[in-house]
Amino acid sequence: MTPPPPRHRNFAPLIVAAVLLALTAWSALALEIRPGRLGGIGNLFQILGEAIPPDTTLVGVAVEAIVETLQIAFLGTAMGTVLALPLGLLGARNIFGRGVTVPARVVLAGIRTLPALLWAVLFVVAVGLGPLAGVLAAGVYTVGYLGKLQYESIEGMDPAAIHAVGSAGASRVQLIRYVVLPESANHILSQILFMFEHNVRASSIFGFVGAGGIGFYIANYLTVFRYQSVLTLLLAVFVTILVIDYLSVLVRDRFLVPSRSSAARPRRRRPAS
Amino acid sequence: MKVATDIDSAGRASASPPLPVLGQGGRDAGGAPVTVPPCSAIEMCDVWVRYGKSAPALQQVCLNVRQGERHAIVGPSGSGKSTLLKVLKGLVPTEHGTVATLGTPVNGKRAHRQLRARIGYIPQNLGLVSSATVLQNALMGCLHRVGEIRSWLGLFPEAEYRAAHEALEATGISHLSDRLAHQLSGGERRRLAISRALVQRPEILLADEFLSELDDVTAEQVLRGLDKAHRELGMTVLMVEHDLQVARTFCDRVTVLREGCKVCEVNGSEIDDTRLRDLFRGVAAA
Ligand SMILES: Nc1ncnc2c1ncn2[C@@H]1O[C@H](COP(=O)(O)OP(=O)(O)OP(=O)(O)O)[C@@H](O)[C@H]1O
Ligand SMILES: [Mg+2]
Repeated sequence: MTPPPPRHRNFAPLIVAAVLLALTAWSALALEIRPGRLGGIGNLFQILGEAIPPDTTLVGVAVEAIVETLQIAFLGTAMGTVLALPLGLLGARNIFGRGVTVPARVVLAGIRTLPALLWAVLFVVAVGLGPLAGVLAAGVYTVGYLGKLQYESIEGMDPAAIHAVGSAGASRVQLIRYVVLPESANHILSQILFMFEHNVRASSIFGFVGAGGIGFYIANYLTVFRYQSVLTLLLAVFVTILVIDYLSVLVRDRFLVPSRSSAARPRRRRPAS
Repeated sequence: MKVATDIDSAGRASASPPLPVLGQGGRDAGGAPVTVPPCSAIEMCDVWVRYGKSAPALQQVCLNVRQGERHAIVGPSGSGKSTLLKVLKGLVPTEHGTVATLGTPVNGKRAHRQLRARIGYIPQNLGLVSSATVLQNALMGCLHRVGEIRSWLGLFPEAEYRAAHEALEATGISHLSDRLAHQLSGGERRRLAISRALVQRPEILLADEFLSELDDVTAEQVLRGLDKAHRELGMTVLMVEHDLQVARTFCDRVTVLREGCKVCEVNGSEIDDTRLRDLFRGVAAA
């Protein structure tokens, strides 16, 4: 009988833990975060106390503003998706060479450099106050973020089908049509839903900078300390997000065939904005 | 057959300078002896392959397969059989040595579409598109004969549908053509991959684990289908096959690989199972 192979002690997890701890301590010290200064958090509860009960006379306004917010998010998502699909494909290294993927990725990364709210500021400057700036901001940000999600999930595809069909003489365009799109359709649909959710959240603060949506009212009532009105508006956003979440679960369950390899599913990440 | 040759010559016409004889060396259906000496479809010379820093997966392998030959590669698990096929398809870089298929060197570059189409490949893990139907998967073999726009719109010519149907019939899964590929059993999936390769009508077929997961009766049916395609197209077949008896009886020549080295190459008709098994296990010298 052969002896079992010697076991190597693996120190990697310990080192990672130590590094994370050191980073936490360093950041906290540098920012002068001390327990004594956290007392101000209590003020939040005071504000909450003043906000209850919510202002019911504002329900009509809230609904109208939420509808506008949803419209901004919807148009932005639609516009972004149309542009993100081709860019995401061009960014996938298992389909195109470096000459194509690098420029595509640079464009996508460049778009993501600015958070959605900053794009909204820029578009307000460019096209003026109002929902159009919000739509453009949501759309552009969607391109950057959805494009990245897409090339990542395309690169995570099982390469066997690409190899097999590609070696049968299919062109790139045919590969995209017959292998890449069918195999990643589930992920793409799920990412679009996720982007819509994200855009609803993003466009509910676009109003802070004058780019339309419910944020306009939230910002105004905040500046005059009418917390009861603010609470009504926030509740409207909250309920909307809940409903969208519920609907997207329904859509996923209804349309998305459970993929055979769960490992190939993309991790859902929150965009940084 | 009529349709087959029409499309075939059309598909290959745009490939490269027209070859005088499309690999039908000695097996012409008309029976007239072909005078052009059969040349090599596959040439490998002193090929070394290494994954990372591990021991070489192939070392010093030379292989010559004539056009129209049926060649089997046998060897224990991990002996480098799949690697050899991937090298021929240009999917794995070689460390040393020269490789050529159909007279064209295989180097790191992505081969032209029409050249790729002349070499069929059935990977060990099949590479089916799991969310497409059986029929669609079979049709993917003919993409190189269909224009970009037509194929993007899914408008395949009638002849291609017929070809796909025939190929599915040859492997006995035509009754499943509307199923999604991921709803098939292991053996059905393998037969689908074979059908796709038959639709492609390649000049060389590289088939990994050709008959794995198939019972004797089905395996025989698939072999008959391949035999027919081989005769009609003058196809060169290089298959990795675990069943030594099939390798010996179906193929003209058998190459034995062990631990990345080529142990020997024998004529299928001149060897018996026991001897082949001993070579395979390494208890007999070549
Ligand atoms: N991608 C890879 N990375 C590292 N090593 C690999 C890789 N693919 C194969 N190998 C190694 O190369 C050797 C040959 O593998 P190969 O797949 O060619 O074997 P095989 O003869 O086809 O075996 P099987 O009959 O089990 O399919 C094996 O030792 C394997 O572990
Ligand atoms: Mg193998």
